[in-house]
Amino acid sequence: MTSSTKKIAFYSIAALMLGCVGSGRAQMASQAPPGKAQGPVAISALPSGTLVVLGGRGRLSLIDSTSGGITLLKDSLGYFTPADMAAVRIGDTDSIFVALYNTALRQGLLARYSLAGAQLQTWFGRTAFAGVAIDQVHQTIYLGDAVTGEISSLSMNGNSTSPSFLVEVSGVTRLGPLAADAAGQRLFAADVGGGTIYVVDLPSRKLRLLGSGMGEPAALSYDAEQQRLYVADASRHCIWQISTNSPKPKPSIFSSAPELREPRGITVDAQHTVWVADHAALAVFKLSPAGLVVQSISP
Amino acid sequence: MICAGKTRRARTVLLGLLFLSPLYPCPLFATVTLQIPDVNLPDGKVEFRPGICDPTAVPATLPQQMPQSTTSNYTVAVDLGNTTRGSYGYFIYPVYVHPNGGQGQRCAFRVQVLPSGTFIDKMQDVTFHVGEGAQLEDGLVRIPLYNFVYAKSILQGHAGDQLSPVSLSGSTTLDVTLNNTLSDLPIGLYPEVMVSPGHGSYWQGTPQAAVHIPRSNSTVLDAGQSLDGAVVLNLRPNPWHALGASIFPLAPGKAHETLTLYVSYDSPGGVPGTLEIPVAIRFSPSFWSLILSVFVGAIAGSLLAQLGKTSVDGMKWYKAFVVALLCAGIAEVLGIMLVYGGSEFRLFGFELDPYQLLPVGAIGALVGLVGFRNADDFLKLLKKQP
Repeated sequence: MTSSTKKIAFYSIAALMLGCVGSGRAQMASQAPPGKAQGPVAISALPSGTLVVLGGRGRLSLIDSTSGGITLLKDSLGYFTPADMAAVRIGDTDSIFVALYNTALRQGLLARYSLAGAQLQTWFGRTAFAGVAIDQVHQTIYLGDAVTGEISSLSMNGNSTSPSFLVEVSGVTRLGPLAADAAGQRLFAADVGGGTIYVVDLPSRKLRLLGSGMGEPAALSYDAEQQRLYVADASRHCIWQISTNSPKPKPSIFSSAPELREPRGITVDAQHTVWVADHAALAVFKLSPAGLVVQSISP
Repeated sequence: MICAGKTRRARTVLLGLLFLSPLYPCPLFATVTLQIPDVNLPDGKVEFRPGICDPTAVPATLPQQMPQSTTSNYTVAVDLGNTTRGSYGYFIYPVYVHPNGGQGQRCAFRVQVLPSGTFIDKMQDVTFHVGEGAQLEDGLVRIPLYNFVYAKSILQGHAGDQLSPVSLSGSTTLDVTLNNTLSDLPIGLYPEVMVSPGHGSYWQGTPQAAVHIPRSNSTVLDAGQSLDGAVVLNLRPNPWHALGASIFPLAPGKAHETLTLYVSYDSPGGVPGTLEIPVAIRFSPSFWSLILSVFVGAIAGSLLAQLGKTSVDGMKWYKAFVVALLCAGIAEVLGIMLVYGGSEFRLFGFELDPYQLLPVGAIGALVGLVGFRNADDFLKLLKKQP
């Protein structure tokens, strides 16, 4: 089989599995194995106030942050395993980007969905994708590879079909979540095995340690106006904050509310409210500025 | 002495302050320590990172189903029923430590398990060190190690035949064999199997397939098990479309249609996967359809022979017709026997499939044309052309 034939076959299979082929074969997603309740693993806030929540088995839900109303977009993303998700408004359009991987195909896939749940676009990576972050100002997607520690970038302006190498976080145990600081031209990256946070200066592609001593930094969210990075620590059941404009930034606790059991997702909305997706608690928590849980929603 | 005392007090105060500082907001409950050294495998490595001791998450008793290991002072159990998968290529195993005497600190550890390499899921003896302070006790526990990336699929499958015959009319059931390549772990199968036909029009509705394990309510393939008929595929061709696809001659080894089955699975606790199984289909008419086709061909051939006045020795038309019919029937049965036995069936040097309608009609017509002449003519038909 030639490489082009292989590629076509792979694309077809992948598209089929994701249920995006308009030929009446799109039942794959609905036939996904019925699982237990899906603990949320990622959360992202849109400027409209809508929260997008990703479940551990690929369930995509929307939460109205004002009313707490839930809309189920998809119960599964086919037989691909979801890793991370980021929602963003580009121009007048809201989009959801989900990083996925498949053990059999041994390749990562980034899929873009509309807010109605329709799959709009896919990109393939050389290896499995993990963390995803989006710089909506420069319309750039950043993707991490958990095992190699490589971070790639993908421009949404051009016709890129696959991400290109940007920088390698060397010595990382497991490269986890990413967060972009568009104004500061920085990218934050967490080592979920080592409990450390790195910052990448994008113009120079230089990397430095931002914080350490955390347990399992499973999610990052950057509040650009307050220049504050929030870190969800899944193993220590708490939320850290790091003031990035400080000359010597140090992690400090933002919340260790007793409701937090395994925070795996975090986002900050336009009102600077912190929302946490807790996998073990099967809930999304709204935190007060003091770090207390003021609302709990089960997506 | 006074200085030494002050230093000690200052150190204690400092340690106390450090303990109460916001850097340790997630309380350090106890001094029980769990260490698990890395496991090196021929095709990979697994690292273990136990979190901090959490005495609030420990069950009162350790269920016997959990893999356990006992040292002099502790029992260590791994809660395999509650393992979870991290988003970034790792697993979380809850591990409980109970003091044997009932007195002392109980701990729950959230152990981060980080696989690398391409090893397939397996059971492995894992050493650990547990204890308080510097005095740690050694132990060994046998647990499954899972991976995210395999060199090859842990589940393999194939249809019973390289080319599965499917009747043009009615329904056909095909068995698919599944093989669990893991030597010491079961594989769980999801009951629904998706079927993707190459040509949807060839089928009445969507072909259906389901996992079928002989034991009731079980969808688990045991370690190393190979099971014929683990997936049952039910097919109902759309007769006219299927006939259209199969009426024109095709070499016997070629498929009229290929279906793809998607079987979803996981090793319990591991990462779900999907196995694709291509099933090559060859439509086959019923025996009576074949006989009818060969007779129609023979009649046509005889009529042509009569029109062309190719009959010899003044043989009557009806006699020539009966001879042609018989010879055609014999040729078809002979062809079926030859092909069934693994031989080729050739007519005028062309390899023909005696299971397909058009070639069978052609056999009837050719035999009808010349079948009444003599035995030599008939036998010449079957010879391979130089």
